[in-house]
Amino acid sequence: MFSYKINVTLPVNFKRSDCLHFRSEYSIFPLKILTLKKITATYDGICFKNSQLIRESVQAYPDKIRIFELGAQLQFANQPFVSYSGEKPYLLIHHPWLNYYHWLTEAIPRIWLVRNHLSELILLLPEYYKSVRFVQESLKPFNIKKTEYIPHGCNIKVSNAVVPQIKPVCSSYDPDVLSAIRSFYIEHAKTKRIKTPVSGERIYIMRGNNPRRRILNEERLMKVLENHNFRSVRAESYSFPEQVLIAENTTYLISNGSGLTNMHFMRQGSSVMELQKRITNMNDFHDKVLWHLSSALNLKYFYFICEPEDKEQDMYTANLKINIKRFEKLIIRMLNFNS
Amino acid sequence: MRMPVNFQEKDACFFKNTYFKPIPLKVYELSNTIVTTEGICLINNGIVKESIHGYRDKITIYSLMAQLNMLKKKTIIIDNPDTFLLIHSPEFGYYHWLTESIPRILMVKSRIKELTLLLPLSLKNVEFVRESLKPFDFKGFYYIPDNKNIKLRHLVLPRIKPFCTVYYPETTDEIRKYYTGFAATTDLKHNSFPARLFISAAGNEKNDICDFRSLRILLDKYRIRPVNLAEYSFYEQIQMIQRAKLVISFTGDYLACINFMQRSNSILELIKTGEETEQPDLRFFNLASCLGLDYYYQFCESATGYTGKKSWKIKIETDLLEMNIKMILHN
Repeated sequence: MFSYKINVTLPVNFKRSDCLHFRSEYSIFPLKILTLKKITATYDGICFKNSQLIRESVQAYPDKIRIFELGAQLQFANQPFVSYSGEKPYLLIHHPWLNYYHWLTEAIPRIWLVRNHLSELILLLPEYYKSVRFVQESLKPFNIKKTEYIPHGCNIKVSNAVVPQIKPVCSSYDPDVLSAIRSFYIEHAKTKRIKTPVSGERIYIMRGNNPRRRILNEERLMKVLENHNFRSVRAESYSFPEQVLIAENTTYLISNGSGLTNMHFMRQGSSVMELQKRITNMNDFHDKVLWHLSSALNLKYFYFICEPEDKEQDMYTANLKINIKRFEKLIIRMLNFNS
Repeated sequence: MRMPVNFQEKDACFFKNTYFKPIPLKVYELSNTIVTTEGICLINNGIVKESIHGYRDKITIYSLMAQLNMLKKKTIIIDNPDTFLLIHSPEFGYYHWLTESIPRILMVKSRIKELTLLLPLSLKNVEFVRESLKPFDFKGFYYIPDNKNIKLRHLVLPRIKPFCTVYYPETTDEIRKYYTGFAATTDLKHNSFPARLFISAAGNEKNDICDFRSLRILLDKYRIRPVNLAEYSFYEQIQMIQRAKLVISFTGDYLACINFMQRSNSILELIKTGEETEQPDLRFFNLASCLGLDYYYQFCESATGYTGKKSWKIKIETDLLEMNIKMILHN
């Protein structure tokens, strides 16, 4: 199978001593579209054919695969099955990890793969996706003819299924796909005459009341950002197309975690800064998903390493404390770098 | 931590070791516990975290595994007043056995005679398991049948080391003394061993070396003997490693044998660089450091990338290897 090499641009403020354990390039392979008969799947989208895991329905990390396999066995043993049969094939694009980042960078590209066949497919989603605003709003532009929802907690048996492959490695991206999806959403928002609700090219996306990965001194941080003409916003206060347009008009974007996903819609050459947790325990690592995303989008990437409140907590849960002085220095550097 | 003798600043990140924080390991006495074949311990349907590793994904895997075992496998009730000892875990291999299970036995060595060792039936005929248990005078053994859980009245659970790369010098030293002492009293088929070893392979792990001929010429030049550990018994391996002044080997489970080397002797680890991981594997660097060995390293490029089948084709830069060997012999 042929592959493409994707180069990774170094962070602008890269320091070798930060030991990011990076590669200067990675390979991507064309993603498959599987057309399958008689498959089973868990409520959260792990697919099996003849009791064998369909590898294309999950990411390619060995421990995660084991978790998906074991988790599915448990779900199959404990939960009822619902059957979906009919002439039209069912489209499966969901996965156990639902958040804004995974939805936009993994589930949406799976729909994108089959975008020309959507009129012939029925999208199948878990029931609780009905109430997830970004899911519903990001699906609208695709004009999907029919969506059916899997009753809460049920496994499914599907007689005709289309399973577009999920991106096997989270931190690997196809720049062409990113660019096409970006244009698709921006164009859609503009066609619908959606107004940009926040004007300003410098945005900080607040962590706010999210119980995990909070910024403990966020108020002080916001004060400093305000001095540099940043606006602090809560992403969830805006509709998906509004978020798309806010990001499109943003030249400098700062946040931690999923909040930075909206860099997807920024213009090439703009800058992002990720607030990262310092590695303090054996379960931590420097996550490269946002760095590589910004690289694939041709954005300038800065990172700021923050101390955790509790060193034993890992990067997915620890609250962070910002060293304001150091942070301000980096802000100035970022602003001066672009100008 | 002692840095590698041939450490180069450009490799600083590889050996960065700031998260090395050993926690005290305790011995737990538990009542009415369930133990799965894999060695996962449960009380009131909750997993006992001291019986498993502390890696985030592994915790999830073992929790799911235990739930499935409880759901699908029969639980045998051992209505017996004996006190059982649990030392095995779902991660099994020479490395895990020597650096995790054996230390758990040593934590309770003063009361071995009153303990019945629990083992999965699948380990009964594993040579290094059987041989390594010989020095210990257990009250008895209980083999957990395949696909069964067991419920026990009394269990002694020495906590497993939560992270593989964290070692305790007093424990690694004790293992060295214990086994080299026992090996000295054992009759062996081979008893003449070279002082310089190149461990080429062991068990299922196979490294296919590009241009082995050039490598062989170099090894011969410095009287370094290639050996396959699998051809020697457990105690022959111990005697051989104990007498070795220099061990050269690829990273691999069997490299745990350096636990039997004498302090200040030298180990050169050939570290495969490939596609499989971006995080350094510091298991043997940390172990060597803990044992007071002189640790050297050399990165070797994989010619094929990781195949996922523990099978590699590896290029060894022989010029660099010769330089490293000269440095070791000079030191």
